[in-house]
Amino acid sequence: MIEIRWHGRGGQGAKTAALLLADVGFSAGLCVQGFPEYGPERMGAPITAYNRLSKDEIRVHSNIYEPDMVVVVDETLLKTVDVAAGLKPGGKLLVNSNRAPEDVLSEFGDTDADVYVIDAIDIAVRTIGRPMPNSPLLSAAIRLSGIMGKDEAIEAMRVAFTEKFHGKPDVVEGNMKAVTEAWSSALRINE
Amino acid sequence: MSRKDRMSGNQAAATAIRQINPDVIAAFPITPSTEIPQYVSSFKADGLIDTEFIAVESEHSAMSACIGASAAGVRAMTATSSAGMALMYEMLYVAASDRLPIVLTAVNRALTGPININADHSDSMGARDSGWIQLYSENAQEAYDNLLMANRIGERRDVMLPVMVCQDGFITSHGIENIIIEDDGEVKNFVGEYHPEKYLLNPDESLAVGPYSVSPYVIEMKRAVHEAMVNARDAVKEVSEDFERTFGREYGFFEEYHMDDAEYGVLLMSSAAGTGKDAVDALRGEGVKAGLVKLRMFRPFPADELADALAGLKALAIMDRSDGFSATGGPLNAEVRAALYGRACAGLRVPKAAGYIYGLGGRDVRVEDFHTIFGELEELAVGKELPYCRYLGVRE
Amino acid sequence: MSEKKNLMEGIGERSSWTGITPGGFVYGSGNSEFFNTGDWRTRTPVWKPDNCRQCLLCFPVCPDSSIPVSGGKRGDFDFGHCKGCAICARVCPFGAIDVVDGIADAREAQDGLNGREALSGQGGQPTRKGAAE
Repeated sequence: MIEIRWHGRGGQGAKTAALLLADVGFSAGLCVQGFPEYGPERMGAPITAYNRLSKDEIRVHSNIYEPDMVVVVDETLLKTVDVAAGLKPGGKLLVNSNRAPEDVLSEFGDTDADVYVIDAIDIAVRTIGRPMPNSPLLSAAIRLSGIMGKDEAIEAMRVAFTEKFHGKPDVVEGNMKAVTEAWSSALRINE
Repeated sequence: MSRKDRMSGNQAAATAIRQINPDVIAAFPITPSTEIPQYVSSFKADGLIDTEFIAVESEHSAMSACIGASAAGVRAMTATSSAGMALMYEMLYVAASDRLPIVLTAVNRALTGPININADHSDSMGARDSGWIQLYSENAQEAYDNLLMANRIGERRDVMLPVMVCQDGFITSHGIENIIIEDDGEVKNFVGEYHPEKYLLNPDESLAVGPYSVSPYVIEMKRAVHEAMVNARDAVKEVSEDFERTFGREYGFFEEYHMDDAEYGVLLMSSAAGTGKDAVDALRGEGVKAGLVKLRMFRPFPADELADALAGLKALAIMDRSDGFSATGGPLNAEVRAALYGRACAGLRVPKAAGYIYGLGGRDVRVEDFHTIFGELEELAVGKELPYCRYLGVRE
Repeated sequence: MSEKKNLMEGIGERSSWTGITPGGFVYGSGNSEFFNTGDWRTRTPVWKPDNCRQCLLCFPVCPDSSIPVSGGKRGDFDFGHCKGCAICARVCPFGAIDVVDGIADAREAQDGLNGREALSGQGGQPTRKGAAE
């Protein structure tokens, strides 16, 4: 079972990304969970969302405390939230950032996680036309999770976007450009 | 043909409603069940159902409209949570007393005080004495399946009681999970049509529903509801067996997980049961004879069957996701212990028991929490005293 | 008076819990015909046909439809449901209605029901006539 925790701020689409990742995992034939940690609606407040992906039935209904991967949608959270908490040894940490690798790494000290960075905002602005980082992050997270290959993943995301943005083909195309470009854009910044 | 899908518990409930295609839905939005009437109104707008959707101004009105519709002779359904259910409270009793088989899809959320939107069972537990049949669901699949069965259970001629199908707010209502959705036509055949014996819109027989009852009648009417609730046991069994024959998924009054040779067991309802099963698996791997009972049917309460299922345990944890503030724990703690009392009086073996209040206001319940409980049960079994009931994971 | 059948015949305050209708439904309509509530009365109106001009101001104000009208003319009171409120006497311009204390004519009250079974809707006190005979 792969467990993924998303850190974002209310309104940035972390929840949507987690739900889309569940959709994509489902289309790969996996058992999935995608769920946010809910509270009152507070745009800008730190939020978490979760994914479980497994070949076997998933029964556990708790939050995720020892994830295999953490996705940080908003790097300003690094100052206030311990995003790496409980990350499994050798786990992956995917950060949306346009900062220099050493700047980002300095946030984590002696982490034994594999840290990846992607400038999801830049990709989103160029492809979707709006600074919505969740689609590029979704794509990068799927690649890092290793649950499926590129072609299958891109097709699964197309299906998911087409369903979600029903009747908005322009939005679907923008997002497809974003996820295609983002697939291999997340780069490991530590060894 | 059934199909594999993935959806949230709310989507699953709405899908069941679409397939049931009830005559009337009357609902008022409240978190976390809001999505259900939202989806249903979309189905209506898209022409997928011919349900009369009544957008009412409160939950009291929602249940009142359902009562009117059901009395008129049609299938009526609604959805609510928490304070919404509290606002229906008066009419919940009326629905049961009037013997109207309304179906309510309840998304459990803490009843306000302090205000909170997350899961616990204080809302539906408050309505446990209202005369409604109550079924609790572990996940989206069970919420869907229970809803497909609910109308038939309530509408059986010797039952004629309303049915509440509960699932945990956000944990299952808003989480995407794998689910098997049955074919629309097969669901339609399974659910069947509703033909009440007496109804207001029958031009050949005039009728008055819900008359004032003076005291020489009330206790007899309550006795009749009691009998209907006794009959509901058989209705739940019959419909569940037909459901299994039709769709292949088995449902009893409760689910026993590794209970055959279990020495230590937990009893609980809804989503946390899945988490508990993972703990049971882990403990079994360590050689601990752990088991779990997930109660599906809380009303009517399967006291004898539960007592038999639990009898072989050395120690039992009874887990309530609401406090009854009796100062002795929650309603499950009281009722399960009462169920065991008959065995004890008959000189039969009963397990030692400990009550736990857990997960209030959405407090997360982890596999580790179950490990803690099972550890305490092992101590209880060898003579350590445990409180009659206590709060799990509370900051002391 | 119609020849309506009382669909609630035999269902009353002595019925067992299996003998009452599911949900307490009341079958049929206009069932008040079958219930004597006239004996709640402590005062009784008395119609004086000699003074009556048939102006018909009285019957629309009667809360219990106890003044039968036929062919444009009122007849004597139907005491099966008259509560003795005396509104009719108050509106009568011609002094054609007197009000006397008590159930002035128990026989008349009984006649108002035309001998049908009388069940009181009032709780507690068994006032089922017939059953006491």
